[in-house]
Amino acid sequence: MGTRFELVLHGLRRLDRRALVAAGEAALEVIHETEARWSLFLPSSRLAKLNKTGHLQPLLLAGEDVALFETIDRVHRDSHGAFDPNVAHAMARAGHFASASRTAQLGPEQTSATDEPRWLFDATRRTVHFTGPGPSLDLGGVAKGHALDLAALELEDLGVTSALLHGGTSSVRTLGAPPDQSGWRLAIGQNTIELAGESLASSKAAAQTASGQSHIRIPGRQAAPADQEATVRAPTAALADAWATALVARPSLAIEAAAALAASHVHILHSSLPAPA
Amino acid sequence: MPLPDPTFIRRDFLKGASALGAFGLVPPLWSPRTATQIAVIGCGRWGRNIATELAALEGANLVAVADPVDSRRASAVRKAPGAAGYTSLTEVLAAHPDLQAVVVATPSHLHKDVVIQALDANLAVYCEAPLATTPEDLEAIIMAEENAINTVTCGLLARSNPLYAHARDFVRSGAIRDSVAFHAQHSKKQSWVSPARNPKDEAALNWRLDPAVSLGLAGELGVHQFDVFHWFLNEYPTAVTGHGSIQLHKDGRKVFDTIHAEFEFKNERRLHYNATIANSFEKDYELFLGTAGAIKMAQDAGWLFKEPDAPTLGFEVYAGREHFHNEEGITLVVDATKLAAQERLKEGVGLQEPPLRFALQAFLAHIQDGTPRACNAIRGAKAARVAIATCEAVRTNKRVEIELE
Repeated sequence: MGTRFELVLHGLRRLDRRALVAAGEAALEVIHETEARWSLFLPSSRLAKLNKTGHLQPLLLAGEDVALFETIDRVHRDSHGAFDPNVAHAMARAGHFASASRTAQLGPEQTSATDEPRWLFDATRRTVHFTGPGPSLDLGGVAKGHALDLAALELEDLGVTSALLHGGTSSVRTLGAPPDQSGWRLAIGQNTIELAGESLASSKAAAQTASGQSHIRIPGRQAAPADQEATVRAPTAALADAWATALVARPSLAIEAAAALAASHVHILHSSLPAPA
Repeated sequence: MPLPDPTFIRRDFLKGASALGAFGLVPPLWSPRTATQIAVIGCGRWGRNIATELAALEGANLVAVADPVDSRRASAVRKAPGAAGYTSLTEVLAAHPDLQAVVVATPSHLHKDVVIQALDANLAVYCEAPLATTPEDLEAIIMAEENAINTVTCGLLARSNPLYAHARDFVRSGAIRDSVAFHAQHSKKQSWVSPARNPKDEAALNWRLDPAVSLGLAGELGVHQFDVFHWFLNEYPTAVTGHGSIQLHKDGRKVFDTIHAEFEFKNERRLHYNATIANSFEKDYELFLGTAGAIKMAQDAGWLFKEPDAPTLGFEVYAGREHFHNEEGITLVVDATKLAAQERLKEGVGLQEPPLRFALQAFLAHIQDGTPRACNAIRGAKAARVAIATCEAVRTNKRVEIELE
């Protein structure tokens, strides 16, 4: 993911420092493994396989990756398509992968002008496939959060109850709260918020490009304006990541999708449009 | 499609099949499209990786995972929906009479009992490397397999990695001409500590740090890399000299965090190996030096470095290149000639699946259509014997003769 991940773990109960370091290593290993499955730049990733062969055969998902595509489908639907991972070809055409030392693993371009193919996720069969040649997914707007969610699960399995994990400071996942405090305190601009077992994601359209141009594409349209940004709080980091991306792509969702945001327990902390009252 | 008659000797069928196969008369043992009922025994980090891969593999139906530690078992079940969790292979066998295969990923010193129990139950077995940690256990596994209907595949990953197979062809066809020296390393900064939620699990989970049962870095990491040289060179070292120390993890442990070993091959050639969990620089790779060039392998990538006087190889004209300080490596690509003809060479760079996935696919292919095993138990046992000798050399700081039988 080309991102620095950091963890803060508190040793409650009997976990000593040695065990906490080991738990942190295990969590980072999970992040590394998740990247290996969903990186756009690794030829051996599941995402590369999906992009290259998704129009020919369904890709079978391991159990924990079902949640990833459930989040993708849900936010895509609730954001009326503003969150859409089917942007890898558009990203490539816009030159976002040109300077990368590795080549993005993309599928074939669309061959028909009608019936634009898309991805289809089947939760029951645990599969994803493309309805035809053309789609190429880039999970940059959600995979980092998914990796943090899986790392948090690993920490819980190991008995860690108080932790903060972040990737590049833009995606945060917490477990519990620090000892004797009600939550993890995070500064967002001039404001401070507390997270206790929740997640946060922040997205800014121009955040990842040296040129200052937007790195967030809107399917069928131009890139999101470079100055748009959004920060949200959500139950999972994947959900927070995806909604932050969607709100940058279409700030008016703060109003248009208010009901869906509330149903998903997603709270807008900052966006280019004021949050609904 | 039903399972074959259990009285049918699979080993003999496969012998006959190889003769009939030339005439295209061989029916598959069961349909390749029928998913194999499989279980993973041992749900540590690697066992859970295996569960993740099997859960996403067409052709595998992961029905059970087993581990005595509750949290590990629960984590494995999350990765493999549909699989039930058990504490042991005994429980799995009782609940799944139709089980066809197991992957053994228990602590290495516990492999023997699980492998033999699985063979006794007529299951196909994939056992992680090292196959076992003592010569006695290796002998017991080999004997059990001799008398079993089914077989043991050893999980030495390079042998099912198509990029390594491709590079092996290069080495064996003389691309680097006469080999003169070898080097390999494994570097990954980590503690090797497994945190336990329950104090009663502490010792069992940290078996790698128990010198009474663990082969240390040589056995858990080195065995895969030593075997690359066995396989590429088609020979085994005759002796090994070792040294070990604790450079970083001074927490009272007795298992070294940094080791060096020098292996003796024929014609006075040496393999120098070092492994450390105190540093991560350049991770893991194997290097073959020859009179016409060098080949470096790094799991999902490989390069050929040519000497100036080496003859031009046909594929060089369209091959990609990467720079490493003062050297230029020609990127090795599986099926490069074919891909180049289709102008798709770029698509072939790197490994197209993770090494573990190739290994599990090869195991399933062996079960489903009789494809030869990527690594049989005899080769797995030889690699383990090299690792056992290396562990002894490292512990004693002495030269140890390697006994392969």
